[in-house]
Amino acid sequence: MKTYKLTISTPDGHIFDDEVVSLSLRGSDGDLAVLAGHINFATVVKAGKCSIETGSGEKMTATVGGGILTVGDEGTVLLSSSFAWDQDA
Amino acid sequence: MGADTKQLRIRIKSVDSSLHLTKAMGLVASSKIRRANEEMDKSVAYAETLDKMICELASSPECRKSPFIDTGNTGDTKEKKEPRTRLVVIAGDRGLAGGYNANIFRMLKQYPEAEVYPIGRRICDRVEAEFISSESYSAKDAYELSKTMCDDFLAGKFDRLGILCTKYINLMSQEAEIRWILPVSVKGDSVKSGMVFEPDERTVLDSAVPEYVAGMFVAAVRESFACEVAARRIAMDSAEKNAKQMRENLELEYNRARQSSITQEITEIVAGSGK
Repeated sequence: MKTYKLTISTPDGHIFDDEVVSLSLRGSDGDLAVLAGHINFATVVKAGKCSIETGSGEKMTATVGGGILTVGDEGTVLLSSSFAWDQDA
Repeated sequence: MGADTKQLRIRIKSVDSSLHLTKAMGLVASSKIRRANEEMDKSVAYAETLDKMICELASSPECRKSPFIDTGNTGDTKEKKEPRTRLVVIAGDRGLAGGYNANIFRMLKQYPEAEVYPIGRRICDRVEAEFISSESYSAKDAYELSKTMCDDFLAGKFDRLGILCTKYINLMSQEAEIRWILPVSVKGDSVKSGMVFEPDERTVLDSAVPEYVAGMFVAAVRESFACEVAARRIAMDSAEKNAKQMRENLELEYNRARQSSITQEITEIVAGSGK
């Protein structure tokens, strides 16, 4: 599977900065998933669940407290005020 | 002479206790430095990512119409009328940190008309406001403040928002500065980036700006705290050095006084036996 670089940044620093296959979360107009080769895109992220499939095939879920998602040429960035992996809870 | 040596002994004891205090405060500051620097690095990384994202969003022509965006000069607007300024001032919770708090107060004097939102006990006491700790300031507090600031800005209650904080250069030097954050200043011409916005450009930008402002608050508070700890360590190091020097001088003076009283006693005894 093709991968792309995802950075998840919160006021506590970069929570995640690695290659992923997909990112799924709730955008302003509904649920969305970002795969490699997605067009440049920006949306408001709503608070809710978020799931990530890493380059090694591992599936991770987290709770995101809203924020902004941008997909650009240099990678995908999710900025959020709070982000917590589900296994941490 | 007896009274003299007694006075000196009291002074040596007092300098000794100051030495213990400065040493302990220096050690506490040293242990906090690493954690404070780590926190600062993390929040600076977040602020940089936010800054990059805002610049990317603001390059779109539609976003430039937003009241949050200023395409002209930063902070100091070219209007003749003095802009109504609001300043979030970040100082320390404690003193004994060299010129850390004094530098902030000095810079604040340059903006006598500014409306001040203080963070940190020293500045809260100075402007007689409710106490907000700078040491335990959380991201949640920053988001709440950011929301209020953005709402007030849109309501036209002020023209520009700045953060008066301390910039960390290195362990030895820090300097007070103002970072103008609202309106967001954008340089260069707008370009059609080909980016798709959902639901639209203005909604995305208007949601991103409070996030940006909060990120800047968090980064400034954490950077200022790292500066405070570093300044305190340096101040305590130099206080310790001075106290040691003072104790040495006093000990020398005490020994001289003691010796001179012994010599005098011997002289008196010898003179007495000679008669």
